[in-house]
Amino acid sequence: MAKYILKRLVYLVIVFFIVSFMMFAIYNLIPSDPAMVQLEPLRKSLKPEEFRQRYLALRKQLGLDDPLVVRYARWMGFIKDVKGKHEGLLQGNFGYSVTFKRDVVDVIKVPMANTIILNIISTIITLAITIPLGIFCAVHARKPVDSAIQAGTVVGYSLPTYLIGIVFIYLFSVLLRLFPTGGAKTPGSTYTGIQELLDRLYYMCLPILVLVFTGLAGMTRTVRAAMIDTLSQDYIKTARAKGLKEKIVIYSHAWRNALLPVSTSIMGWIIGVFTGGSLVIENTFALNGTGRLYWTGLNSTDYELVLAMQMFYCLVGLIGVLITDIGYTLIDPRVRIDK
Amino acid sequence: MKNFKRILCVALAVIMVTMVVAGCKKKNQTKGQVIIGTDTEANGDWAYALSSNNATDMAVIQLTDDCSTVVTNFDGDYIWNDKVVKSHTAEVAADGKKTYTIEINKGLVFNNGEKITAENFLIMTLFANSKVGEEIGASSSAWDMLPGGKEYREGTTNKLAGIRLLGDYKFSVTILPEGNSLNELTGEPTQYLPYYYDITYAQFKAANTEYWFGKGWSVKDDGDGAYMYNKDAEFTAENVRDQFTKAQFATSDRVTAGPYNLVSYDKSAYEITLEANPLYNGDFQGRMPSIQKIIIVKTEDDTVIDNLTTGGVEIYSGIADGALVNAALDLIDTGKFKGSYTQYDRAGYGYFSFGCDFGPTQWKEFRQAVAYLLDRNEFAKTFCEGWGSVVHGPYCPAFSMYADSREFLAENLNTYDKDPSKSVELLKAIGFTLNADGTPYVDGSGQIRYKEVTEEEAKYYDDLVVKVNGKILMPAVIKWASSGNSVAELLSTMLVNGDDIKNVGIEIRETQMDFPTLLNYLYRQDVYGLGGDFTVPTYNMFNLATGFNGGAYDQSLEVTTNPAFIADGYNTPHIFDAELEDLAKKMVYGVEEGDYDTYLSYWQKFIVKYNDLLPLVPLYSNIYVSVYPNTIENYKEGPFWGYERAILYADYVG
Repeated sequence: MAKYILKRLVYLVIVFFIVSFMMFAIYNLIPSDPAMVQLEPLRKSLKPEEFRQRYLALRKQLGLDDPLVVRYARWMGFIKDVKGKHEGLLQGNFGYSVTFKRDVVDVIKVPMANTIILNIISTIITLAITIPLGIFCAVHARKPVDSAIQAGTVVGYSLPTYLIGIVFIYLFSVLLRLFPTGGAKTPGSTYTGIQELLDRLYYMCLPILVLVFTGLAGMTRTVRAAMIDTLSQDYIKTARAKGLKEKIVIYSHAWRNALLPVSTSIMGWIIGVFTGGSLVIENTFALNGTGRLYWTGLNSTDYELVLAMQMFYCLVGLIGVLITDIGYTLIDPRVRIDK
Repeated sequence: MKNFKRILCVALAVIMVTMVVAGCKKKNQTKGQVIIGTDTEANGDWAYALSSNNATDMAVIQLTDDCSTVVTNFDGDYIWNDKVVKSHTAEVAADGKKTYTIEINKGLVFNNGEKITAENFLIMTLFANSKVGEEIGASSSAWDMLPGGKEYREGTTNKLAGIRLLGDYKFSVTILPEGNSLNELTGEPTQYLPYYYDITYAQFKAANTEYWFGKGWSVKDDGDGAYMYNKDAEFTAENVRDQFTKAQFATSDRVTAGPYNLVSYDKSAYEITLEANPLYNGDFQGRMPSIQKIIIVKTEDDTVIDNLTTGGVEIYSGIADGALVNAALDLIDTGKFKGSYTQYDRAGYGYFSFGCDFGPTQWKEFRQAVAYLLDRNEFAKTFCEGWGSVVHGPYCPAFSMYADSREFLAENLNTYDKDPSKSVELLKAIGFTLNADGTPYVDGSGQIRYKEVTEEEAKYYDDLVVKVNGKILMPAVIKWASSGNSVAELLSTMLVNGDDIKNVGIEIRETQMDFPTLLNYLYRQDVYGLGGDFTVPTYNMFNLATGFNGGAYDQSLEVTTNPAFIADGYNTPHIFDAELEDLAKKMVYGVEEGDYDTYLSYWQKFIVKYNDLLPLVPLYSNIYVSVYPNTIENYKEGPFWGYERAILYADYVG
């Protein structure tokens, strides 16, 4: 096992560097000049010469005049930057956001925390609903109740999230006045402690509701399919023939075996907790999350911000896959990854 | 008895004074709160001396930090702030240098009670124009026009000779007629005087020295220029950077001198909370805030109607989208939103511009012919859903120059009302009278017109010109770099794909691209790493929008014929007309400050000339609508008077 993990870690490092170079190259091939984009709003307020001087200085500061490979090596921290220091990704420097005029780490903190909290809550609720629902559907496969659940959940899957968000705001905020239309806290409130927590959770209710609703179909169907497949196996028939209670057959025999394919999806969801900033949800509910931040970064050609986020997602994804593989052995002792 | 009378008189006087004071206090009492929605999330950067700030950051700066010597009024005109400035003089020396000497009022204070003195007005200028400022990212270019500015900027001296601290409440600024340094682009110094808007050179804003730079810092002047001083430290980036950055991004407890104090900036919730500053000195008209608390929250256009309905937002400023305006007004009409609205013309317009130096759009008549093919009134009406109007040149109806020239412009501006027959006349007049094979063009044939051109005229159109019997024929084809937005879609429907344009023999070929690429083609500047060359003229039509900030109206760079400036991205339509440039220059650099009549005369001539040359065709100018609740009165916005200014004049009535 240790040898396997070590081997995978080496692969992980190689893949990370390949991906990092590819991402860096792709973003630098976008036909745009980050220095010009940053300075353009100042064009009318600066004298032409000053504008030009600042533009050239900014190009130098951003290192835009060097070849791609040199810039990549500097960004990673393999070589010294324009200040003569090794201050790259490998040294823990995620870069500087030209849009927010701060270190990327400082910019990402708040939206990342918001996104993770939102995703953790919505993922837990969604899994808590969809796993039992999927099992229920599998047990009652092709019966009217199964069809009804399939049809009901697929609504959230089929409709655009944006539309669901707007409809939910109208229903739950405007008509029923149950939840606020958007934002993250009561405007002007100065709550602290438990009051603040409850206030924040209250404001999260509607976005979570939308996320759960849109997420129902996928996992329900995955669990249902896995369970139907397992329930048709001979050993299930044997278990039933032995006179075991249906609950034991379903949860001890069938579910354990169905968990293997489902676990991949669950891991995807867990990875999504860190990476799944939803631009649509954040825009609709005016939330400060990573999806919106990423979109802002792309729009303002804030490469260092966008790249830092991409590399973080990449790392989470790679580690997630490793954990999934290791998780297989824990779920199913028949799986031996070191062979 | 006499004593009793005296005592009675004194007692009465004391009572009266007490009542007056109480009355005054009551008048300045603030109450209530309003929630303002904005679609621009703040970056939390409150340093106005550094590079650009977004609209919400600027609004917070205005609300918290407005103690300036020169300000703009409701009409966007620069005026002296009499509440700050006690007196000011302007002297022009024999060598052309102009010196503004400014004495400020005593009794001005920051929100922490500290006195505001002359040093506070100079500290940011000294910082932003220094090498230290440059290292920290300040964007000021004022050093070029100040005596000794170049040496100060380069760090060879720590004294800025052009700025003088003349006492606790007095300072001066001297401006050179020509810049300190030769412009790298033109090889000539920049001209600073005369300048119609030279009042802007005397614009200084108070900043708290300790808050921005830390303990021990002050401004000194030994008779040869003001300088930053600290007995314990040298003025270096290392010594002030941390404090400056801390002040720049502070989320509360800022030391400022504006109508409101920043109480909190919650990045997580996109929420800014401001409370009235009880020590505020009053704005240029002595106005004090009436509303105790202002909360600025992030809002989306898509959900703003729901937010107004539920009370999540009470003020939403500058709604441009016609459908949204109508929905907001419906809310007011039906009582779902208990409030009212204010409307004003946008200080800017959407337009499509031409490349005036190549292809068929190099001829003025051709550009005019295109303009005659579009019903711009209908375009504005459709695009703005009734909430828009049309302008006929680079101005906005809110300008005082426009108000003073209404009749003149009505008589002298061509409104280019839709008239395809005039298009045909103009095309014929400049020789678009041929078919692709060189035979005479038949009107109404639906074919593209051609014109015999010289090799020089055909430059950059190699892919479209045809050669027939040794003659070069250029087609009436425009290459449009389109951003593919809603304006472009309507333009396609009403102009590009319409029957009229086909009937007169013109074709517009649309190429959609992302905005940064479009800008590259517009500016014609080479961009690193693309492998292409954007300096080659490729597209001769762009759909864009522009805005005026109020204050100075200076178009000299927008119509410059100086190749160095053009290569640097100015004059994007590439309109090369000496008379137009001369008018634009003389308007601001040939008129002394205060000589409005001469200025207006140049302005009118410039607008008429621009309208005739037509480097761009204005399409629509929105009518903006802002909604506000019944809890406030006297809330009025204008093109140069956003919510951050209007809120100060609003009275809270509960």
